[in-house]
Amino acid sequence: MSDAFVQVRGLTRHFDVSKPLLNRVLQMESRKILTAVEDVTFDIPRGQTFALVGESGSGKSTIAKMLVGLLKPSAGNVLIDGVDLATADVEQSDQLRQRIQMIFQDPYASLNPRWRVREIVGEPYAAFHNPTSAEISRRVDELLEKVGLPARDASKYPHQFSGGQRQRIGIARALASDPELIVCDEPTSALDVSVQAQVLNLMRDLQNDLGLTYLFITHDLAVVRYMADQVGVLYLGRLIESAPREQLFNRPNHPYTQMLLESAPRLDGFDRVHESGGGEIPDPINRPSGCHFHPRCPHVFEECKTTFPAPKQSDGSTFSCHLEVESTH
Amino acid sequence: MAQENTEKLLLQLKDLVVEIPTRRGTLTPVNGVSMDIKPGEILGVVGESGAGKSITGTAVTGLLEKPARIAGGSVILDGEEISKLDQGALRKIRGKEVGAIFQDPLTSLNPLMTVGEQLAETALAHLKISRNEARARALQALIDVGIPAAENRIDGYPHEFSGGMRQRVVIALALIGEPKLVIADEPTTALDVSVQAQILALLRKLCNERHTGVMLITHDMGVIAETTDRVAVMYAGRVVEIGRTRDVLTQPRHPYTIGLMSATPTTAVSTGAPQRLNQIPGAMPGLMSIPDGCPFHPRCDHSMDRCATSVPPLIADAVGSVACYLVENAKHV
Repeated sequence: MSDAFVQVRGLTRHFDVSKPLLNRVLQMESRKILTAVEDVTFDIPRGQTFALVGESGSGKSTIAKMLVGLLKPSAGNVLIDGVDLATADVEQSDQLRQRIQMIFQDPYASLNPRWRVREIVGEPYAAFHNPTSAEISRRVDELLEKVGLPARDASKYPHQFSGGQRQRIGIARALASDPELIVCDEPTSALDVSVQAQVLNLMRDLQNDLGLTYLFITHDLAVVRYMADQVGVLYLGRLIESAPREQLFNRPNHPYTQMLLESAPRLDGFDRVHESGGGEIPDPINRPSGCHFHPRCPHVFEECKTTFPAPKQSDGSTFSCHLEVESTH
Repeated sequence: MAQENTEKLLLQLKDLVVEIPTRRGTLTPVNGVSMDIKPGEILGVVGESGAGKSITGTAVTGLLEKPARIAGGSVILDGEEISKLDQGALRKIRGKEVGAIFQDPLTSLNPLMTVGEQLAETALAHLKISRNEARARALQALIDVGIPAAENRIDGYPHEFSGGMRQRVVIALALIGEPKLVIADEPTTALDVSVQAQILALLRKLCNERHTGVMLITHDMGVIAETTDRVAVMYAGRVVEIGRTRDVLTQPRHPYTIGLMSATPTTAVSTGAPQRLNQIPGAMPGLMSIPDGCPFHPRCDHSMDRCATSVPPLIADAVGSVACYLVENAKHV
């Protein structure tokens, strides 16, 4: 357990979203703190895919940013191969950064439009290895081939590619520094289905060939089912259930996970009548007390309104709910 | 017999062609599209980006933006040809005969008017009623779409509503003129899954009750499966397959539909690791480079010489309609 490649422990992040001091004084408002992520704990073993699912405002992207070191945690820590980015010295964190890369959601915004593909893909390699330009070219050709693009594309600009091809360029860039962990933030949600299949298959093949570890962030349960080994479900910043893939899809424990699975449209769901509950995700600044899901939960009782449930274990699944396991099924 | 059939149709598109003249030549985002909708029926229009789904919907609402124009074919709404009407006449039809629901609920509402004012304004424009009556209708419309405490919220502004509630208001707005047809273009794409399920159920219930026909445009096959009665699959400006939703999704016949279905990941209960997704090579062609013949032939595994030169017609049989020479050949054997 404790030797997992990525260890996330009690990760918490607050954002101060208050108005400027003068406005606060004049309008007699107090400070407003948004808790984007609270006490999130999980492990990713080397070579596996951990998927984080959740609806908007659940804190998925904030966790991704803390994992790659783009945001500092307010509390808790992230250990990657035993090293904590937040406390590591310069040399250690430089070394660690090479081993972590990120793939972004929007293939249009994440590539510099004025750079040629050679520069985009070669930059991380150049940054870490101080190579000659011939070495960079060779490396770029190799990377492009790996993601299924012809080597001649290296001299083109991003606008000359379709969305799916751009996402391949983004993947090639992520691979340039020989990373071990890739954080993928909704990598296919901007792509069409037929192109999404190409990119997901490519990512799986690369994982098999290179032994990559993925943190995969998405709101699409079907994509999770295809990619993940382990799945974590987030609701308003809390990890409310974490389980192996089949376990989560076949026997969800938390009422929110059940609702999420029930609401997802199914390819074979002809004439299906949804029995999913009502309501929407509440304002993350004023989260409901106790278990944040209680106002929407069909099984709610008194205790849920006051205390956040401690995590429970059941057949490899960890979930936070006051209900007894039997009665949730 | 044929006469009787057309009378029952609410909307009929016949060989609809939409062109956009540009300096570098004329683009044809919609090229000979035919489909129809009966009263009370939900027709899904599915396809990837660039297939021409939204432009088809926009052509029906008469909201095509210049320089795009209907260059051929006809749009027959309730027996009346509307593709050649001027803007003034179209304005009367829009809202009254045809309602529209768009993807982003925030940009389809006026931020400076209360929700009640927007609803009442639309009701006044299309129905012969008094101001008081319009307000009463607005309130009823909000109650119908399931807005809690509607009598308090009717005087709220759009920004005071959550995403799901805003989309409910947009639906109320589309339905308040009592249209016979609603064009819903990706109505739930901007919403979270749990809210999406609520909105689709609502749309289905209201249209059922009022016998409203719906054209539901989406890229999501799951939404198509759960919401629509029939589905038209579009590719590069053409309908490649159309039929009952269950038939098309469980026994797709056009190679593109087959490819699309096997490329779509599913949440269906299974044991063990999911099967590898099938991938269709390449991507949808851009409007400047739509290939000759069947637009899908460069990506098709079964492409024949004929496919590169002539466009297969959409041929109907007992199950549905498919535009593919393979299916046509199979029948002659």
